[in-house]
Amino acid sequence: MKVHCRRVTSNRIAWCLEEVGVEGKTNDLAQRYPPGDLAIWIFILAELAVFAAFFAAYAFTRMDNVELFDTYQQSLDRRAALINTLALITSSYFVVRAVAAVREGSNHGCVRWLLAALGMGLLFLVVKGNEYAHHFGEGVTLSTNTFYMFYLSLTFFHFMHVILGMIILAAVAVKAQRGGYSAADHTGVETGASYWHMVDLVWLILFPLVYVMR
Amino acid sequence: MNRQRTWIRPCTLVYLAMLGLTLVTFGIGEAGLSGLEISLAVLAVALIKGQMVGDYFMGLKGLRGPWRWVIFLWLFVPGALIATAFSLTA
Repeated sequence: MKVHCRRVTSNRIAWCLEEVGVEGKTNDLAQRYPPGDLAIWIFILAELAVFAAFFAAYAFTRMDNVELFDTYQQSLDRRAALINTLALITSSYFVVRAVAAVREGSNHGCVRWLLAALGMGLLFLVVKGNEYAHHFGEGVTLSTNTFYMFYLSLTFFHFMHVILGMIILAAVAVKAQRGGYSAADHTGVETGASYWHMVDLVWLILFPLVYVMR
Repeated sequence: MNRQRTWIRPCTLVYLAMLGLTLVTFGIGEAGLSGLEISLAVLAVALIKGQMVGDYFMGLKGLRGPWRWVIFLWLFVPGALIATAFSLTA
């Protein structure tokens, strides 16, 4: 029997193996591979590697500029960062509930949770945008000093990932609205969810490193 | 079928724990606490929250094999580098 697998996912591999009659492998594969499309996980690992390098560069550059970093860290709006952290954690939780809903066969529930997650993402963008407006209004640029160079580049790089994550979640929500997923086939939802959790994960390290630790 | 329902989902408990840990981190910042021990404690809290995301939100907790440890390794490597850099300046 000829089996075509266009996308590599744990679900699809398991389905292919079932089709060709390889018994007992489905559960084993489901326990070996993460949820969603494997391709997104390769992308996630690449993104995480870049952020890890960024974090290490920040910490080691700070070694030679401790006073400068500690002084200008005080100019940041920690309350805004708290709101953004709570917004991203909450949005990640909503995405978990969206995946749970579609696994129970509810496209409608999935859409509702995804819209809530998008709302939290939008809140993040508004709060972060206000922070940028404040800093730019004070004449802060990438070349103001080393701390602001790291602060602006790190947070803006993450900001762009939030936007990309929201686009992905919106696309998933549109497909779910059209009934495009089911309890048996919802790899797209898991793929989008995995990316969004990565965006949240990065911020969970960025927030204490840039706003709190000194 | 008689389905047994738990009063709260595990992911909800994790979510609430993460909110609490975030408020602890914020409180440390607002109190103006500084120093190596404080920084390492704040970093440890962040790494714990990161592992929670990997385990319970990304769904890696139940996996076997290398994917189970992907997020742990990602947290461990930059975490160790950040801790080293802060320790050297203390």
